[in-house]
Amino acid sequence: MTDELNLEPYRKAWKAEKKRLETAPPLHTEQDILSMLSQYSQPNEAAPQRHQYHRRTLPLWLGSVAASIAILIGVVWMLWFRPTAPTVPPAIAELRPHTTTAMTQNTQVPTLIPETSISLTTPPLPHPQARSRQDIQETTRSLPAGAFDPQPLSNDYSIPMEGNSTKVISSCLADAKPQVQKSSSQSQWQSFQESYIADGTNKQKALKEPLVRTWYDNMSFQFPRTQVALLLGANISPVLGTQALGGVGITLDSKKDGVVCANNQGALHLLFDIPSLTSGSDSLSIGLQYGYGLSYRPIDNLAIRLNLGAYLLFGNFDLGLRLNAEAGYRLNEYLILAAAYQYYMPGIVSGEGRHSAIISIGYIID
Amino acid sequence: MDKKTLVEEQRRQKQFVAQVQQCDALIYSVCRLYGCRRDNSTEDLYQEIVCALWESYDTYNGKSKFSSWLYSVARNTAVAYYRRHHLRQPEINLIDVERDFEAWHDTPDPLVGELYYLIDQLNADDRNLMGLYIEGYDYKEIAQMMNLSQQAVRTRMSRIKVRLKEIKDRQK
Repeated sequence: MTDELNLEPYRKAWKAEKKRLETAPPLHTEQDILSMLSQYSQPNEAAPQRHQYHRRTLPLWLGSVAASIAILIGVVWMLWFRPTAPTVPPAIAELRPHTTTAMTQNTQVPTLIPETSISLTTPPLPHPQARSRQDIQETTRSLPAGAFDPQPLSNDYSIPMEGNSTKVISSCLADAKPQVQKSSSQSQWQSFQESYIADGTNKQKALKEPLVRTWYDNMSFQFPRTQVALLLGANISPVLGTQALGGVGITLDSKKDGVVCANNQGALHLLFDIPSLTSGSDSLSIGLQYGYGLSYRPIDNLAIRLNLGAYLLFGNFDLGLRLNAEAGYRLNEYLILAAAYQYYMPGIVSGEGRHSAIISIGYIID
Repeated sequence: MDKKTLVEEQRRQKQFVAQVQQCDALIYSVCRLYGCRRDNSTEDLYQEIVCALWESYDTYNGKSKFSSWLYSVARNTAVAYYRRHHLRQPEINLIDVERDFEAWHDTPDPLVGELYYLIDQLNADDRNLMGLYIEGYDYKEIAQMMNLSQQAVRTRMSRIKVRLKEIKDRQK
């Protein structure tokens, strides 16, 4: 290939040079070598250079220690300030303006009194004192016979589907529809609609938040919890053969707060590779990932994971495959276990293997 | 340590020094090919190699040539040394390129000087791979020595050759 340097002349030249060097006169005397060995056996006096090297790596050490302390402080901070109760899901939150009870922000399952119960009261009568007894008698006489016969009570508390009530139900169903359709058959969705919309006798039930909530809860547990994360990072701390990869990424989580939804999160991950286990960048690695979500409920998205991965190289694209087993803990939720495939693409960022872009796809077991 | 042991140790050390001295220039070649940069670290590395040789002298069983054993230990020490102290890829500056190119040309064969210069532009892993390639090993042997697949070695070598071509073109 024209773009590649022909190394054959160099190989030949080196062969000749090596032969020459093997027979070349020594550059060091016997005394020089003995002096080196005596320095080696007396470490306090010997190898002042080594101390210099330690000084060279000192800032890197300090950087690593500082980063570790920062992570530790972050974790403690998260634990200390964890909220006491989860936020009400967005769909349920929409019901709030229509409630008549005073709810606090942290009420997990608010008791709702639908406004329909207010509208079911009898039409407003004029004030008793506004009408004289004679007026009433005259009115009564003008009514047809049987007007005051007792009527059978109906269980139908239905109200016209209009105004805010309609909006609430429509909103809930609109949110629920795609999830129900995914998790169950079309017929189940129709029956859901029929029981809560088409059948007028159950309209009020549809407004009862716990029922809708139950649907959401049931739906959300029918889906596998998945995470997709894109990380871009760089080698930030080469200390004693250990590489640290830090980066910022985006995480998509399919489930949140009991409601199926996708949300974007920022994340900070540190990945420690140990190239000395094999050689260079094509290595077995042990990683520690620290993820911290920056969405509106950051506390729930804190995850600390331990990765074990192996890296392979494919062809000219330098596409790596990293199989990870992750174990982590989500604050305020549950222990999560995840297995993840990560694609490790050092060639994308730079020619060096230590700089990399990682796409991680994980499955979290609740 | 009793007197007999001390005498034995001194005899052993003397033998070691004599053998190392015979291969003195060979150690320098390893320093240049695998470990050293344009800074004055050759002496440091030389000392490190001598110490490593002495440390593992007990493992030399005399079945192979001393120079072969020495070369193998020296190479591993040089690669580790380089990795420890020169992890970062150098920023190539055009002025430096010209100056260093001249500085490396202190060998009888200018092509060897140029080779030292080109290797000096590589990072630790690439330098190791390049050194093995220049020494005449084929891809299969390099893959075994570096614990990589043949395809990986081929890919990396190809990338190294492209990079060196760029550097050489820039130097022109």
